[in-house]
Amino acid sequence: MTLTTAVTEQQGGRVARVSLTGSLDSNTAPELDAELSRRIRPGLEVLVLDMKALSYISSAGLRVVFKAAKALISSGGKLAVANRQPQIVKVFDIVKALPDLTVFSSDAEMDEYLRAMQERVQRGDD
Amino acid sequence: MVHYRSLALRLVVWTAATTILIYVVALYNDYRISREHIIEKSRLEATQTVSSAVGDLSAMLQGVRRSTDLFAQVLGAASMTPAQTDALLRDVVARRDDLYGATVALEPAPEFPNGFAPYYFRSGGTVRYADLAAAEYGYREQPWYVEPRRRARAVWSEPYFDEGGGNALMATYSVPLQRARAGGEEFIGVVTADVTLDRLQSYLNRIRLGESGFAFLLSGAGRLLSYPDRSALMRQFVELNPQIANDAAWRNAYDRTLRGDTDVVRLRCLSGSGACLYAFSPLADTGWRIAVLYPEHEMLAPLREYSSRVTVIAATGTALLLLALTFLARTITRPLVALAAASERLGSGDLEVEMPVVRGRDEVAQLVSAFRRMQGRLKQYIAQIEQETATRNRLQGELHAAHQIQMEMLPHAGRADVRRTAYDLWARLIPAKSVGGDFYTWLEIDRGRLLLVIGDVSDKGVPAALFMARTITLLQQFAATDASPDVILRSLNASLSEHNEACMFATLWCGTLDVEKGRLDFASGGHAAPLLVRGGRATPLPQQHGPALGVTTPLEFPLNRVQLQPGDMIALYTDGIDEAFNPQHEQFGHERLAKALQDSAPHDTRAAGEHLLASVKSFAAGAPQSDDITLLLLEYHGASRLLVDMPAYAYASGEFAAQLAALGDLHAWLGDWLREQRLDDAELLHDLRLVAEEIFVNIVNYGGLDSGDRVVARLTRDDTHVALEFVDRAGPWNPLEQAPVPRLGLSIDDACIGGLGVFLIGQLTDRQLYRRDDGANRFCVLKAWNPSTEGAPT
Repeated sequence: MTLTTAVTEQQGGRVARVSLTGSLDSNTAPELDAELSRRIRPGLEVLVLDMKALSYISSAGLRVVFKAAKALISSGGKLAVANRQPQIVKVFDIVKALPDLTVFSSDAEMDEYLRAMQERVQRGDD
Repeated sequence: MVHYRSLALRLVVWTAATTILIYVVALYNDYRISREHIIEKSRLEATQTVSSAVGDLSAMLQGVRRSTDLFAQVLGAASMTPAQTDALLRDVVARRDDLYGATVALEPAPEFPNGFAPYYFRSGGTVRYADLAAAEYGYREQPWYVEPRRRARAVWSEPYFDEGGGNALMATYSVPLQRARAGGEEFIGVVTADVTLDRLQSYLNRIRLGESGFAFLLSGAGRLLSYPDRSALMRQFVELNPQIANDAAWRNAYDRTLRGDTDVVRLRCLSGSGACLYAFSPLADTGWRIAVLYPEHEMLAPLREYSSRVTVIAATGTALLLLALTFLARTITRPLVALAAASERLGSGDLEVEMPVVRGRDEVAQLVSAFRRMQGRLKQYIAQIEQETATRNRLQGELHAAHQIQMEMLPHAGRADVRRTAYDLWARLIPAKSVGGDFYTWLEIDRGRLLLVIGDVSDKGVPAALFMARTITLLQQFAATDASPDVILRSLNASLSEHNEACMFATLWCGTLDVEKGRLDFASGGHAAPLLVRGGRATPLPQQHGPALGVTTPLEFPLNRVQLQPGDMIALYTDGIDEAFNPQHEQFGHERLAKALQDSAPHDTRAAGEHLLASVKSFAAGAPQSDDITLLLLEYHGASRLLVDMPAYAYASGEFAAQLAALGDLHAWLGDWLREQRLDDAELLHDLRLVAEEIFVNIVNYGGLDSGDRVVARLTRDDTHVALEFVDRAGPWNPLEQAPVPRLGLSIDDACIGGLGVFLIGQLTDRQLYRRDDGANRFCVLKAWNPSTEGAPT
């Protein structure tokens, strides 16, 4: 069981998009935890975990997600999850971990959110 | 042996062969006998012909001789004038036809110094005169004059041509004339008589033998006096037929002819081929020989004609016989052939086939009418059978349905083979009739308790089956309660005794097994004690029992108890087994029953059950089964291998190193098992992996085990649930009680991250069990795999 991560930064480092592929279990969670810890810093406004290709998550994986969310909040950012498969949704639902998470159910929804965010920033610049 | 296609052909061939054989033998014999007969006859005929010709010729020649002799005596005795002599001579010639001519020639005397020889002969129907005394004839030099004188007796001359006399081929008889005088007799002349060869020939011509047979006359010197071919006259027979000289048989026969023998001999024909008969005989005192020669085949000609005629008649007769036989055989076989065809169709089920029509009252007609009667009876019989079969089929159909209904009242319809982790159950019910009074049942009352029942209703057949149905139905009601076996029997007896006017009753054994502890409680209502097979020995379970059920009420049934050990087998049976009879009316008995179970002790329940039933069957050796046979085997394995009792068929276990790195192996093992079990639902796989990981990670992270320690995982399933159990040898730790309960739904800030795993386990599975067992932690979860299943197993 492996996990592959691909990170892309957008909007000048304000947005980080992390695509997860494979299993997020007790063995792979530490890798992701380390990766996310490196990415989370002041100025990162939104970290999106794209779970389109993530087939499995265990409590260890949830803890990484929660820990990242916590760290982002304290640094003024927020964590979003996107494209969760049904079994992943079910696990998230069971632990009722949704209130502070931004959730995108599709790429379009996520892109729309990010575009709106960029526009807002540009207006603020004006 | 040739196989003839038809009776007619065989008849004709055999008859023809026999008839032809008979004809050939008869004809051959007939021909042979007739041939001998004909040859004999023709030999006789030849002899007769010859002797008759000899007779005729002799008579004629004798006549000539006598006349001449007499004339000579007269001339010698009486002294006649020449004129008188002449007249007498003329008279003699005129009177005798056979004579060609005659003369009286005398020595010259004084009255006729030139001699005296008047000659009278026939010519052109008249008697003519010639004077032989004419000087140029010189009669006294002629042989017919010289010879008698020399010999002083009468002689027949050799044939000669009488030149100047009769001018014809003739033979002459000359008698010397003597006159007595002093000192003896004095020769005075001769008297002669001529016979022409033509005259002789006319006699021989009367002899007819066959087509080409002929007779001939030989002089003593072998000259031909008569012969069919006139040119041969006067010649030697041998000269005419030179081949005689080269043929010994002929030479001999010819020599004998000349010697004067009389005989008939068979010789080669002189002209052409084949055999000829040659008859010969001397002719009186003439010194001549008469002979007859004719071909044998001409004698046999009538025989051949006769034979060929008889052969034609025989052949025609045979042909007619065969025709008649063919016709007769056809008239016999035609109806037989038709009958065979009709029987063939009758045999193949065509009952309406037309039987051939045969007139008369012969055997064939009787056969056909017998077949017709048989056809009629067959039709009648089949119609009757069809009717009876329809009735029986309906009854059998109903009985079959009843049998199925009855069987379906039993777990697994009378053929059970159930494997659980804690025990195996195998049962078989074989009714003696299609429906019977035996029954068995079991109920897994909950996951720790098994109810077992076996029973036998009095009597067999439909009434027993109905009573059995009632018993089973009531049992299921009472068994659903938590009652012990004695209580169940009491209640059942009370219900069965009511409204039991038919006085049916049942023996019944009822037990409950505590699966976990191996404790078997049981009560018996008049039913034989089960056998306990332990350590290779089968012994009846000691039991106190009550009476049969359904007779009276109220009744008490003693409760018995036995502690089972892993490996024990309990055999419940009905009396159809121990009371099975063989053809010698011996019972199978308890000893054979115990032995059959002991023999198969190392095997599992199915092998043991099949072995026992096979033993009963081979013991019965074809004797009809007199009673229902029911056998129920329970093999106790000991406490369940998992904390829940589940079937053993899907059981799997794996061992994993107590470290996170083994997580991949655990996931793979789980995935493989689910695929094997065809439970490859993505959500189920995900949930079970999650649960397995949480438990395993908990053990690894908090159990304080060494990395060399092993964790055992076990899996099994039933129709609704998957069971997953982990066993580890860490210190006692019950996650159900000791794990912190997470606080959920709070903001992420407040959320307690610990305890999530156990919480997820609780949420994703239907039931969780923990037991500290013999120094090990056993944690077991049950999860419904079938989304339609409601409620978790207890």
